[in-house]
Order: sequence, then C-alpha cells, then structure tokens
Amino acid sequence: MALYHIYSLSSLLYIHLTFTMSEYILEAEHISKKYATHIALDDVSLQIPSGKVFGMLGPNGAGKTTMIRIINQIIAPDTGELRFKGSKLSPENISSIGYLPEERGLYKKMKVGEQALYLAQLKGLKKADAKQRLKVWFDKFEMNGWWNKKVEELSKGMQQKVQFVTTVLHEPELLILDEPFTGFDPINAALVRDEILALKEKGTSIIISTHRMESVEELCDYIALINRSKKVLGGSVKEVRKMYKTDIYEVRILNSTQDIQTVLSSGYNIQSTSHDDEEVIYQIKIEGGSPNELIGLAGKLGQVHGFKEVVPSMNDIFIQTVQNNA
Amino acid sequence: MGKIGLIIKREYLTRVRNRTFILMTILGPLIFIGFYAVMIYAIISQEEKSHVVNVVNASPLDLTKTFRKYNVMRPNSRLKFTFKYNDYFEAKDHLVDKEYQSVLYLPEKTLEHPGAIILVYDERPSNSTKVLIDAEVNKMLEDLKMENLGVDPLYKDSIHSSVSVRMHSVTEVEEKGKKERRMVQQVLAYVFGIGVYLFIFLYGVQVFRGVMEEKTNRIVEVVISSVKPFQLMLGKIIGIALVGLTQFVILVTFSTAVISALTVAFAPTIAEQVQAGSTQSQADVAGVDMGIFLSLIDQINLPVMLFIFVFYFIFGYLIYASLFAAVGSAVDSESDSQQFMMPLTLPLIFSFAMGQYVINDPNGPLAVFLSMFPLTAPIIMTVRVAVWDQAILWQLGLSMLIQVISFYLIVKVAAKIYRTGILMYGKKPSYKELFKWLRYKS
Repeated sequence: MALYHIYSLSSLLYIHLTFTMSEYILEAEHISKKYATHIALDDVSLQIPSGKVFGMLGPNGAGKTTMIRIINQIIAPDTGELRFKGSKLSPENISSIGYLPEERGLYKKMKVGEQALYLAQLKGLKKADAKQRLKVWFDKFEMNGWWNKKVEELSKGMQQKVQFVTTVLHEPELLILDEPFTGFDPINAALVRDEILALKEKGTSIIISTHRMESVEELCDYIALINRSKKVLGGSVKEVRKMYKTDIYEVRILNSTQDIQTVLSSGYNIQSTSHDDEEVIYQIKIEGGSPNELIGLAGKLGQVHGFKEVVPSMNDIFIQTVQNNA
Repeated sequence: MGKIGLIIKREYLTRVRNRTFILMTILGPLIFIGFYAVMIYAIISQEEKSHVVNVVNASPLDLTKTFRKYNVMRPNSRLKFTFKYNDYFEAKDHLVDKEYQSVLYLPEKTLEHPGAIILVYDERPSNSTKVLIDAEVNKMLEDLKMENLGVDPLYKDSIHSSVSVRMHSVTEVEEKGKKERRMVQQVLAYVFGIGVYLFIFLYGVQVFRGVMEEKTNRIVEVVISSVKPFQLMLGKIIGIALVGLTQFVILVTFSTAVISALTVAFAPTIAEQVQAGSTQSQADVAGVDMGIFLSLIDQINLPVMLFIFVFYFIFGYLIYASLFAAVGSAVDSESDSQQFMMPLTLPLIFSFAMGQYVINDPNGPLAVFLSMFPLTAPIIMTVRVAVWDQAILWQLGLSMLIQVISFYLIVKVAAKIYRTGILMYGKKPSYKELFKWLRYKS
C-alpha cells in the first residue's frame, strides 16, 4: 500500500515535471538587476511558453535589453533564478538559444560566408553542417553570390539579412529577437515576418522585444509589458484583450435619417458621434444590452455600413496600465 | 576545436591574411635588405672606376719591372700601369687626354730618398686606389733592395708571409676582455629591451584596436552570447601574440636568407678589394671579434638568459595586452582613449628611456625598484639580466613572482572592466566609473 503511494506520488511528480518542461521553454523568476546609479530590473518574472511567440513590450530604457542579456547569460542577475526547459539555465543552453541584438553588427572586413561559418561554429555547429545549412538559407533569402563579399560592401539591409541568417542557422529552440524589424525595408520585413511564423510552425519558441508595440501585435501569442524596470502586465494576448475589453462598439450608418436617441433604449450609452462623408460613426457602450440587439436597433437609423467591436491596441492597453499603476 | 581556439584562429587568420600585414611583413625585410644592398653597392661602385698610372722613371735604374709584372699578373685589375711618356712634364701635360689618371714620378735617387716619390693627378684617386699604388711602390722598393743584397726576387714570394699578430700588453689583456664582454652585454641588453618594448607596444595597441572595433561594430554582443567575454578577450590577446610571432619569424628568416645570399654573391668582389690592401683587413677584424663575441656568449649562459627574456616577454605582453583590452572596451572612440592610454604608455616609455641608466648602474636602487614594479619589470629586468656580471637570484626570483601574481590580478581586473565596458555605449567613462564596474556581478 505504502509502496503504491510512493509510486503514484513519484509518477505525479513525473507528470508535473514533464508538464512544466513542455509548457515553458524558459522561466525567469524574480529577476532583479541593479547598476550603480539605477535599477534595471525590479523583481521581474517571465514565463515563456514553448512553441509560441512571446512579445516583450515596453518603452526604451524599460529594462528589456537587460532582461534579454540575462537570458543570454551575458550578464548575471543580482537575484532571481532562470530555468531552461525546467532545469537551471547553464552555459550548455547557449547552443539552444539564438539572439539577434537590437544593435546589429558584423565584422566589416570579414567575408560574409566566412563570418557566418565562424558565428555558427561559436554556437557549436560543425563546419560542414553550417556550410550546408547556409546554402539553403542563402537560396531562400536570395543571397547567392554574397559568400565572398566583404560585409562592408553590402548595404545596411543586406547586412541585416546576413545577421538574421546567422541568428537562426543553428536552429535554436529559443530565438530572441530584439527589435527585429528595424532596418528592414517593407519587403524584407515581410520576409522576416514570414520566416518568424515558419520557425514558430516548426516548434521554435520566440521572444520578440520591441518598443513599437503595434508592429508585433498580430505576431504575438503572449506578451509581457515592462515599464520602468517592472513587469506591469502579462499573459496571453487573448486574456489581456479580454481583460481590457471595453464593450464599446462602433456603428457606421449611411444616410442617417433619425435621431439616434429616439432609437436606443436604456442599455446603451453613446460615447461619441462623428461624421465621415455621408456616414455617421457612433461609438456605443453596451450596458446591459447585447451586440445583436444593437445591430437591430441600428438598422432603424438607416443603412448599417459597419459594425465592429472597438478593440484596444496594445499601445492603448500599455498607456492605460501605466496610468492605472501611477 | 574549442571556442577559444576558434577565436584565436579568427584573430590570427584575419590579420595574417590582411593586405597591410602581408605588405608590411614583406616590405619590412625588403626595406632592410634594400638598405644593405645600397651599402654594398656603395662599397663596390666606389671601387669600380679603373685607374691608369703613367710611370715616369727619372732614375738610371730599371724601376719599371715590378709595374710591368703587375700588368701581366693581374690582367683583370682595375689598376693599370703605362709607360707612354717618360718625361715628367710631358706626362703631366697629357693628363688632360684622360688616357691615364695619374703620373707616378720616380726621382733620380729613388732608392736613397723614397719619400720623394710623388703621384700627380687631376682628380684625386680614391683611397683604395692609393692603397693599391702604395703596395706596388713598396713592392718595387723591396725588390730593389733584395736585388742589391743579392737575393733573387724569385725567392721573395716564398719568404713572404702575411700574419697579423694580435697584440696585448700584460696589464691590458684582462681590462680589454672585460671591456669587450661589457660591450656584448650592452648590445644584448639593447636588443632585449627594444624587443620587449616594440612587441608590447605594437601588438598591445592592436589588442586595443581590435577590442574597440568589436565594440563599435556591435558584433561583440552576438559573440558574447556564444562565448564568455573572458574567452573572447583571451582569444584575441593570444591570437594577436601569434600574429606578432609570425611576423617576427618571417622578418628574421627572410632578412637573414636574403642578406646571406647577397653577401655570398658579392663576397668575392669585396674580398678582393679588401685583400688588395695589405693593411689590416676588415675581414680579420670581423673574424676576430666574432670569435670573442661567441666565446663571451658562452660565458653569459645564453639559454638561461633566453629563458628569462622569454618569460618577461610573455608576461609583459599578457599584462599590457589585457590592460589595453580593458581600455579598448571602455571607450567608444580613439580620441576618448587618451586619458586611459597615458598611464599605460608612460611606464612603457619610461622603462625604455631608463634602459641606458640601468645598463650603467644595473644594481642601483632605481634599477632594483623598476625591476620589481610589474609594469616596468619586463623591460628593466631583461636589461639588468643582460648586463649582470653576477646574478642576484633573490631579486630575479622576487621580480618573477611579482610578475606572475600581478598578471593574475591584472587580468582579473581587466576582464571585469572588459565585460562591462563592451556593453556600455554612448558615455565617456571616468576612472570612477571604471572602478564601479569592478564591483558588478559577472
């Protein structure tokens, strides 16, 4: 009987462990980092889910880069603990992480191919393997013919491409991209965006850090908002949106003939009215009513041209959160 | 290959393959060789002009035998004798024809008054030409005297010998030996001092540049997400040291090869010139001095000295290079680096300048102090060791111990500044700031 208990307990423990291992690729618990004059991170905890895109959002100087450097083991936190796939983060994990820093840079005098090989080897890749993989990427990114060019002969955008390739070449399980879209023209930005999604499909966990929140909103599954060295908000994008749901709907009516006040019942509250050519745009907060009823009521005003829920942008949410916290 | 090996390889290959490196490594010896070639050419070209002497014999004796013999025996010599005009004034007037360059006048009583023999010329003959003419005139007089004594001149060659005896007075021998030994020691001291100084300076600055380049290029963050900052720093320092050694080896082998080839090619010409004058030849001097030099080197115990030299060479470079790396990491541009470079270059230049003083007084209090201080010891101690008559072992041991301990401490401090500095942008750091960096957790 006792034996059975031990067995079931250990199997429970096992289940728990595998659960955490598969759930999060990286967990950072209560990370703090202090510099002489300022606090860079103040008790920040992050859980990065496996196989998802995680957005680390916040204004410049909030502490995002410090956090990334700690994850990359470039610097050590003063307090706190990091776990990679459930066990303590160690130098062995370096080869499982890919990092594209915000400030891009390559050896200017070195040839592209040589440099990519060097960086891949530093990540623990064998030379022959690296060469083979590079060929695939060079094809994909239309970089053939660059191999023997010196980096300084390439344009800024081309250098960015080289850098992106060197970041993902060793097929990291965790990819950390700091401001990945700055410096790319729209076409190449789209190329990188597609590549990020493709990597996610393959199971790569991705952290995107940026202060331009609108640029990654639709890419991220999870987010954390960091402001002044503290995490102010976190969770899945769906949850966050739900949390900041306003119940405001935008109704567009063409050739409105009636006064809206006469149509609406007590469950609705008009937030604003504006005009766009022949359309009237109402923002209506539902207080007790329902969206379906609202559509019906709107039909009485005239021709309904548009009806949608007003979703707060991450930017709005961020500003609201910061204001609430202040 | 380990990661540090990869870094060393990159640092080494990118530099060695660099165009300026190749240019400098080949051009360096070429300049050196060019210098040497010009020197040899100067010696040779000076001797190349042929010279014809018109011999005017005013004495009743047949004095021209020796000169005629010279023409026959040495048909390739640039010195020739002619007997076209036997009247002094006529010969002198015809100098302008340029058929001959000088007139040798043998007066009526040549044998009694050899001092009256004169050489008249329009354009002064070179010294070596005069040496050649002197030799022939002397030979002529010797022949004449022997004839008068009844010796057949044919025997003359068999009794002639040319030994140059080295002479020393009883009291001088020891003094002179000491002096020569001293000279060799000083030369060694200079070579060691300059060697250490140049190596630390040239390649230490390369470490500084390399670190700063990586920082301003922003590549450093990518690299240290794969390796520890300390590995990157150490890899760079070692890689550049290997570049220096390569350059040094190429320089030395290339120079010696070409110079010895040149010497062999031109040796006969030079030897002939030298041999022609019967005065003490340069070859003799060089040969004897080389012998003394080698025997002195034997006394000096070169292997031990080389070991000490290599020890300070390596530790001196490592200490300075890690400090240079720390400075390179702390600044964004070369102009910001001045305030940090000063305290590094100062002890280096100072110890170089103090070299002469230490050679003269190798055991003075200043020399002892400077050979203990870790930043001056690499140069000062090697200089001291070179000129020491009697090694003071405890000082040598203590200095080496200090060197090893300071290496450990300095590299630690430098690494701390380095790993913080490479990630700091946009602010010009002060010493106070650097001090703070030392306390950051790694």
